[in-house]
Amino acid sequence: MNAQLQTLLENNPQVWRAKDAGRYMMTGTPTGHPQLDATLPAGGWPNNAIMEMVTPQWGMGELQLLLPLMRSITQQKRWILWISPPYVPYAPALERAGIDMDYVIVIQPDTSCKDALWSIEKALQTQACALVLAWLNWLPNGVIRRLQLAAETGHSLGVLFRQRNDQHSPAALRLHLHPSEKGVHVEILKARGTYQYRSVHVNLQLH
Amino acid sequence: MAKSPVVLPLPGLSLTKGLPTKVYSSEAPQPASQAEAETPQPLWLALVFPKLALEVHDDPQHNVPAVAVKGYKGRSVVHTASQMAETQGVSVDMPVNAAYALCPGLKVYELNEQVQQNRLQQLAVWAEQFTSKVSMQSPYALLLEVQGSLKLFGGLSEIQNQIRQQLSQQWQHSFHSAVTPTPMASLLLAFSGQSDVVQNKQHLRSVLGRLSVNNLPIGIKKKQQLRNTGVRVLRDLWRLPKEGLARRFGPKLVKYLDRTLGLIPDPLDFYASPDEFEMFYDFPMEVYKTDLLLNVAGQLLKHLVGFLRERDACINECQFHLYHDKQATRCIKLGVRKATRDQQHLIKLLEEHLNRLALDAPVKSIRLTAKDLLPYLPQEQSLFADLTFEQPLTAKESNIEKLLEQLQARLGNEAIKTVHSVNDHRPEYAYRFNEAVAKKSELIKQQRPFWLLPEPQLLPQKDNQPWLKGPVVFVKGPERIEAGWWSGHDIRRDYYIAMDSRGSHLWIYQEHNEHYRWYLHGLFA
Repeated sequence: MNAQLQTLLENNPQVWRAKDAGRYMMTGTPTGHPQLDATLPAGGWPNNAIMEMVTPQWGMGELQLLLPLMRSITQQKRWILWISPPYVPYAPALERAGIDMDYVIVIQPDTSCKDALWSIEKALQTQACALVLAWLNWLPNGVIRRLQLAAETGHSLGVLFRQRNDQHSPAALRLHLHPSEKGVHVEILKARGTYQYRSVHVNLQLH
Repeated sequence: MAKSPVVLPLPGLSLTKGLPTKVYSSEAPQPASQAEAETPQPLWLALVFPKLALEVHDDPQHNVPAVAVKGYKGRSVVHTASQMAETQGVSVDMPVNAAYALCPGLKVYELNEQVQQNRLQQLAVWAEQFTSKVSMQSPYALLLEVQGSLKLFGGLSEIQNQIRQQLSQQWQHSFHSAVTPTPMASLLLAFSGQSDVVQNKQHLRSVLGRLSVNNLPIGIKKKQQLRNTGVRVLRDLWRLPKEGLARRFGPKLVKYLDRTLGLIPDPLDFYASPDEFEMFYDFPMEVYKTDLLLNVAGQLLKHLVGFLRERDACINECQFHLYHDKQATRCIKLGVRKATRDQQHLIKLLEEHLNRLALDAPVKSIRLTAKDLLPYLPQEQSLFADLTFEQPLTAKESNIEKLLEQLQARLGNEAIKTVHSVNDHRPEYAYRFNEAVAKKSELIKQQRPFWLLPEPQLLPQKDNQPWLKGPVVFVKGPERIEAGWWSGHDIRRDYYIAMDSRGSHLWIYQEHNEHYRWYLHGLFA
């Protein structure tokens, strides 16, 4: 190949090569769950990306998984935005878990879907907002791609909680949560940087 | 008798009643004091737009005779006639039928004073680029004090050049302008179509002297009276004793003349441009297509950007209102994250909005408004390009402020909340939305779920056991919570942590009153 072209491709972070797997993607944020870190190709939650969490129903440890991340984000005095949560985020419990509620903003669930999407995009683009959690049912792929771009510009992580498993979503990481006795069973549906899809059991102290 | 020039009602000359109406003595004016002589005399540039009533309509009338008509005593009479119509003999105050008879291809517009006034206001805003002292002289004249701007623009002729250029190219208005040391003299000259420049008050008498009395802003009767006494031009007036003049023609005339000559002060109200932008456009016909809308909206945005530039401001939101004939007004909000005055950017945004818009009814008119001007900050660029993550905290703070503002602007204040915990044993009272809690509440020791249902959900029962799409397995409990009896919202509950058949961890309770019912209150996520 033309040497010039070669260097051009080499320097483009958008080009991903299978042989680089494990090398260049190791820039994730630790999840706080060692088993999960070991399984995820980035060694943790991906940075600057959109992540999808498919949970058949609420209340099976989806927030527990993110708890260490949320804790460290609020400790860094960066903000977490909750967009249309299905229930009331219960402040006493979250505070007990170590989250500084001064850095948590909630957008009410009666917000229209369009406005919610707009809010997600705006929040992702803003660097002050390190984590955006959103509960939405309607999410076409084009929208996710757009949010992905917003997350890249804002260097933030967006987590979309969904109850249905849509194939072919452009999100950087897609997890499917299955309930289990002592914690949660995390199935990796898709992860940028690897083509080996595994599943892992994460022990959670749910209560 | 020579054909008298077209006389237009001179605007802005309703003489204030508050001033004492004493007759000015005919003595020579007081010599100016030393201090006054040193400060430069104000210099007033009058801009008169004689065809404004016609020119507010957008279609060009260069080659068609056109008139604007107004109702007068039950008839339509010509208010303003275009150049072309005038050459064919149409004159002001002529009945419209007569005008039709003179030129059959006449285009007739209804006089719309509001539109005319709006345009004059826009012109006043435009004129503020030349001086901060702009006075609107309704219905179709402006007065600009240009003495203070001479140095900045490099001389009077330069200012006049720029005005001429912009008015003819950007605005396409015909106009007369004159410059004198007094506002009234400038107006009088401009109305008479004279474009004199008089720098010195002493020369005013001789320059104004050649004007016909027809140009004076006085009633037709008085003009006739003046002519009957042999006064044809203003020079004749200068020769008359003021006392006699006041007795015959009223003190107002004398006072007006004194103001014109600068013998008595002539305070003016200056136009203060509003801090909001508002512009209205009436489509000549109803519009169905968005690309036509886009064209006009682009023009409005251009004016908005000019308006912002003059104020060194920018906006992060503006609104378009589309007016339909029978349907409710439609509002398009253009919001930008970073305050801007970039026309291209705004037009692109608008294009996106309009492309998504389904026009189900024709649009009659369109209005652009912009409030909340922000000071313009040129694009901030960091010296070192990689300031992406390691920004100082203050910048991040302000970022979140901006974000919240935007979210609030779009979603409403109610939609954005913070949640804090409150010291209360009753679970549903232990959190509060949107309240800055002054003192930190204590951390609870017991297990609590991350999700709380806004209202406890009644669970169906089977064999006295709760049932949620299947049997429920108890994991932990009970925890007795009994509180609130003092406030009337007392609770007596036994809370359990349970797991449903699908693996969700539930926080449920059994009421301890006469019913002993089961409720779902939270989810351990």
